[in-house]
Amino acid sequence: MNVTCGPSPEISDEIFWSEFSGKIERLRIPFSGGIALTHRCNLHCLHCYAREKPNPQDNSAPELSTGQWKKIIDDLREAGCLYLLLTGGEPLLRDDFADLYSYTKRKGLLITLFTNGTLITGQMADLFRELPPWQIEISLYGADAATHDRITGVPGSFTRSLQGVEELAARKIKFTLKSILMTLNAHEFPAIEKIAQSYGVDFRMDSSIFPSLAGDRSVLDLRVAPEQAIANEFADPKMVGKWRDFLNRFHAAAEGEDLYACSAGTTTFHIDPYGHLYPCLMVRKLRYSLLHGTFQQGWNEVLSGINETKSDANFKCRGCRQKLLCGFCPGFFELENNSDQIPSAYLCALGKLRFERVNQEISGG
Amino acid sequence: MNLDRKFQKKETIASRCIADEFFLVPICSQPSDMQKIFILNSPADFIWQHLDGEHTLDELITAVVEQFEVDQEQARSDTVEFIGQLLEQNLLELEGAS
Repeated sequence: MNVTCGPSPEISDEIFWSEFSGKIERLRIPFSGGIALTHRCNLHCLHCYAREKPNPQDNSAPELSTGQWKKIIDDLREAGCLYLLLTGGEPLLRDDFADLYSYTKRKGLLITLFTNGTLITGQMADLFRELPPWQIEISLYGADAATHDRITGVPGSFTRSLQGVEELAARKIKFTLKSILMTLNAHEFPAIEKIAQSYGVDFRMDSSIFPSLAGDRSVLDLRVAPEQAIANEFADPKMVGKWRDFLNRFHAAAEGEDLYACSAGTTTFHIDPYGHLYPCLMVRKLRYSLLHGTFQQGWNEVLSGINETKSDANFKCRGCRQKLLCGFCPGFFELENNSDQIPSAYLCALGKLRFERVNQEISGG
Repeated sequence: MNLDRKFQKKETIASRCIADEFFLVPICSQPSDMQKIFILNSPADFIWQHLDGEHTLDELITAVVEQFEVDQEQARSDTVEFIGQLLEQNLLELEGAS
């Protein structure tokens, strides 16, 4: 008999997690997902994908009630969800946020929270100290108030976000700062990263701005040139190794005819504030209303359709060597080109540049 | 370790069974690093489920012998060691200690 109780910080136990990942994929268990508690926000960020309600009928639809969310959380637990993202809009705008957060924690789910930080009061930070989240990610769009507030559209938001950060730091609660790279803030990225360093926390950037869920493409004007995005990304010397590890680990995922080779609808899901269940935030073509049935019904009867979606014979990404480096995402393609089989030219350019950069570094060039 | 002792799972831990694997998920802040979960194999989960504050350690060892067809000495050694790990990780308490 071998009795073990090995502490497993994230995915350090590679053998267990590698085998377990295969198992939950075969069994199609919704191990990880996200719920947008609200699309309301106290900021009005220029690049936000949820600036307008994605579906016109949602304009009159009420957000799910506390009781409805708790029922869904019960169902998620039963279905095998361990990692749950709470996002928005700004999730802390919900009057019942503390109640829903505590309820989810006590059910044994590991919570990641996406927030702009402006509503993290001392009382809220005390809650996070008592019931720690798995991760908190706070968005910071500039290194100073002028840039950040210009992007959020709300004067004073930079100061309030940093006040929230201070509340967390004072209680030694782990968090990450993150930012979206765009034309308005690209020049400030080293300084934003220094703010993260001053708190001793991780910093994460993303350059993939995509159209709003309601179809507004004007936000794409905020994208920086692919060359600049890659230069910013590889300013971190660890990125080459990270991409190389990623390639080694997931190279098989680039093969095959399945269009959705990712985890969407297989082990991950997304639920919007009105109770619509989707395979992920981006993929909107499969949808099930949890007002009319249980999570398990939607997962089994509707989202399972994701596995039946094959790529066209002339799909450009088939066999592409850069597919794992571009941020390949048919949901992204759909939002950008109204077809999940027409690649995003922007992502293609990023993939090509990353491929060159990684190969160049590996060959010592 | 005194075999007449009774142990109780802390209420600050949630146990989850997902795809036939057993996880212990800390709910409340721990003195040690919070950013970890615990994965139990089948014998460990069997013991965990029996830590109900009602059975003595001696009774638990007997149940382990019957369940896994191992000799008394090995069951005692493994169970005591495992309970020691749980105590060290602050996942367990002596019945009546809270």
